[in-house]
Amino acid sequence: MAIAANAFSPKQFSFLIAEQDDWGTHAVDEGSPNNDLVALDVDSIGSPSLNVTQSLEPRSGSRVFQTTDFFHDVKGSVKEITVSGTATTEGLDILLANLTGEALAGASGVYSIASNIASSTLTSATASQTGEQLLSIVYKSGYGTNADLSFKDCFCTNLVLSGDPGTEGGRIKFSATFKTGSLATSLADATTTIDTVITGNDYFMSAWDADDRIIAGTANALLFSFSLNLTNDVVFSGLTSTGFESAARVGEPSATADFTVKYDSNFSGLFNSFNGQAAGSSTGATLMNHQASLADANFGFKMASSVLTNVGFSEGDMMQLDCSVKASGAGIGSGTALVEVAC
Amino acid sequence: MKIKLKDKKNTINPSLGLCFNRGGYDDQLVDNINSGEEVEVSFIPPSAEGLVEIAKPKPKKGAK
Repeated sequence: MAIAANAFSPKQFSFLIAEQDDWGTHAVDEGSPNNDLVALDVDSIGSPSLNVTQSLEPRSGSRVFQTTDFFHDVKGSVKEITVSGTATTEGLDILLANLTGEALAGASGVYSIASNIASSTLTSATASQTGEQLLSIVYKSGYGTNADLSFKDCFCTNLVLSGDPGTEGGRIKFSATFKTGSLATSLADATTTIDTVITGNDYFMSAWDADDRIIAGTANALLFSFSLNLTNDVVFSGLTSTGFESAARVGEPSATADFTVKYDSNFSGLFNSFNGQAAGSSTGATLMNHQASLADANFGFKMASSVLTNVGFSEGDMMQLDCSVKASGAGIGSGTALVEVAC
Repeated sequence: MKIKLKDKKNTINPSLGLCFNRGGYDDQLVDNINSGEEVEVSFIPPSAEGLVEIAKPKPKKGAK
């Protein structure tokens, strides 16, 4: 075998996601109607964490690690995939639909987690679901022949959306974490076709209106940066020869946000607001949007009730404040949204 | 305690979601405050301290 003369730029690789209808069957293999593989605008392709189980200890009878001592298993592992990049409409819709559990079609561009959200479980018997609750993922290789990495039965468990005027003019960036408890579909998959390429449908924090930039009840924030962190984790159970056969979202779904704002007359009272919070009560709404209500095709988020979890000075060219909030529900029986995100 | 607006022209912005009792936001309560009513609340959130004040009890009829 001769050496290979070809070489590839990391930029020749793509990261693709698609809604998956049936547990255990990658979106590419589902047949008609086939769900589109959408390319996410990732800054770097990264690498999946396969989290294989290995034992490298010598067994009794020898001081040496013998070849026969080597243990290797991939069934009982949860694979983790993390990517980051620029949030565009096509990809962000799928990510938010999966994490919040609100189907693309029903959400109308505004995705929410209700205060009384129930746990949800998908199993190996799940078929023909159309709520974007299962995802397929492909690392499309720069080398076109049998080199794509394909994963099925994936869940978006964490999504961070952020912006900073000093970085790309406040263009909204994302970082997403996925988990799957199923065996990889293939780590030497045939060439995958991209159905929806990366578009220029970006979002910018510059679209937000002054009096609709509210942090825990204090409006007119002049933002240096923000970061919204959405979490809805998955627990896998029931080990089989093809991996885990059940996945449940049973943990706490949470929404937190961090901001750096200009210290001014509007926000000079934030230390007092933080210290003077009343136990058992919301401190105020947190809203970042172009208007009071969220709307399709406009990136924004709202926590109807939130509490301040941190306030501190941040010394830059001018005095700034770092502050953090956490969304709080409206009551265990309330259908009011814990958090809403529009895109 | 009962509170009322300091200045009826300077109302509480409902978008701020300010809470005056345990639990989440109560839009009806804020509407009542903004309409000029005296409203019974548990506490005044720091962000509303500039907008509302504790209502003085009205003297009873016939009291000296």
